[in-house]
Amino acid sequence: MRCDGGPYEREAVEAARAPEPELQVIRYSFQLYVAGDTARSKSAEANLRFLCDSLFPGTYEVEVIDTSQRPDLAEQAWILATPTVIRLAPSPQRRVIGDLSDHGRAAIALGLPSQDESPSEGV
Amino acid sequence: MRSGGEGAAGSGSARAGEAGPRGNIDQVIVSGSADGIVAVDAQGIVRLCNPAAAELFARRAQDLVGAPFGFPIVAGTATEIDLMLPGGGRRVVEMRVTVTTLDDDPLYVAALRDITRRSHTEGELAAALDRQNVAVAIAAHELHNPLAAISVLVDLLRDHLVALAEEQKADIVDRIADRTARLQGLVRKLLTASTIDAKGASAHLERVTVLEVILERLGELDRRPDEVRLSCGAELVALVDRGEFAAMLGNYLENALAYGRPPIEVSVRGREDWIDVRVRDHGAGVPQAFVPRLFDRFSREPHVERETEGTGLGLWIVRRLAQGNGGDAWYEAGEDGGACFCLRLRRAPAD
Repeated sequence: MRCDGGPYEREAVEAARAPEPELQVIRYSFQLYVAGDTARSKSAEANLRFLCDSLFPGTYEVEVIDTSQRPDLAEQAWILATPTVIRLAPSPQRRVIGDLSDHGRAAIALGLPSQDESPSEGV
Repeated sequence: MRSGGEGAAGSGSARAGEAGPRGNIDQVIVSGSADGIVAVDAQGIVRLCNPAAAELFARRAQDLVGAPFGFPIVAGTATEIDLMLPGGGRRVVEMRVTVTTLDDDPLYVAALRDITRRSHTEGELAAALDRQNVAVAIAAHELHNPLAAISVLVDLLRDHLVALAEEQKADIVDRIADRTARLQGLVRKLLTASTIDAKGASAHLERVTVLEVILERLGELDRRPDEVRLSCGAELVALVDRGEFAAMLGNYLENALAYGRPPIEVSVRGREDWIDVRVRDHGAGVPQAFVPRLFDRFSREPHVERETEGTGLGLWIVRRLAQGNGGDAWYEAGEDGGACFCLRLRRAPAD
């Protein structure tokens, strides 16, 4: 089908071609402090990744810090217990202690969006 | 990241969930509690901690108040967390969380109970069970082969009693005796190991003339005289449990005869407070990489695993008994490539 290029039609085509206004995707960033390669550490990491994959897949990053290897980082961040997860971004920071196996409470305490919220809405 | 706010917990009233009456927060949260108590506010900042908590964290209470602890979350009734101690140590605690309110603001109260000792005990128990499983497996394996051989030899003897020549019968009986002796040795080691596990070395110390015990053990070995050379002063007297010394020496000699090559040299040297016994063979020695594990329980040098029967218990027994008697056991590479197993015993004071 040929388009004959009338002024209104051209405008409509241009509009269709124009990129959609960008949705502001919030990237979540977490640090998880654990102590050694223990079942507790693995459980905390698995729970955190499960929450992130469920709520905002692909738009998060998790840095796992083993305090037995890097006690200096734990000291700097004033980590008093492990597992501790810190939500670095978006601000404000939030930190939670425990293995996050109660996903509902963990999500609330970390200020994560609930399942039915759009990931871009943040908190 | 520290936040101020000290003193916020000192006044006001608190409703401590279902349990607590109205009253001063210190009384509600802290009084009469043997557990470490940390109360954090809605921002996860520590508002109060009791002396037990300060002790658990190995930090001063005033350093903890105002620090960002975080929201404590427990699935179920309790969860285990590791407390980070200054200087890199850790302490495992069980954490329970109650939510209360202070001046209408939520307050999260984490009760921390030290279970490091319990975890340690559980770890030891698990390790003991593992050892027991390994012991049972090894015992079953090592008992099985000689028992099977004895069974075959007995069948042979019974089914062909008439047809066998006298020499053949004598040979079969000798083989049965040999395997029975091996079984007895194995059972003795397993019993010694389980006794050590249960009670440690008994170490009933007495004055023991070293040469006597060595000669007793050599007599039991029934070896050709040129296979074992002995150098020991008749005057040397050790302060040791006689039976355990015999077991230590017996294990060293069995080890040398099983894995080394004759002649086996047993040399004893007296020092001021100690007596050193060395059992040296002329075999290939122990590979350097294996030396650190030589005295571990159930450790066997990989390449001998299939060639020679053994439990990997003998050297572990020697060291445990030696240490239980106030001495020690260790390995030295022999000067000419063989293995040299050493034993140090306390020397008895002169009469």
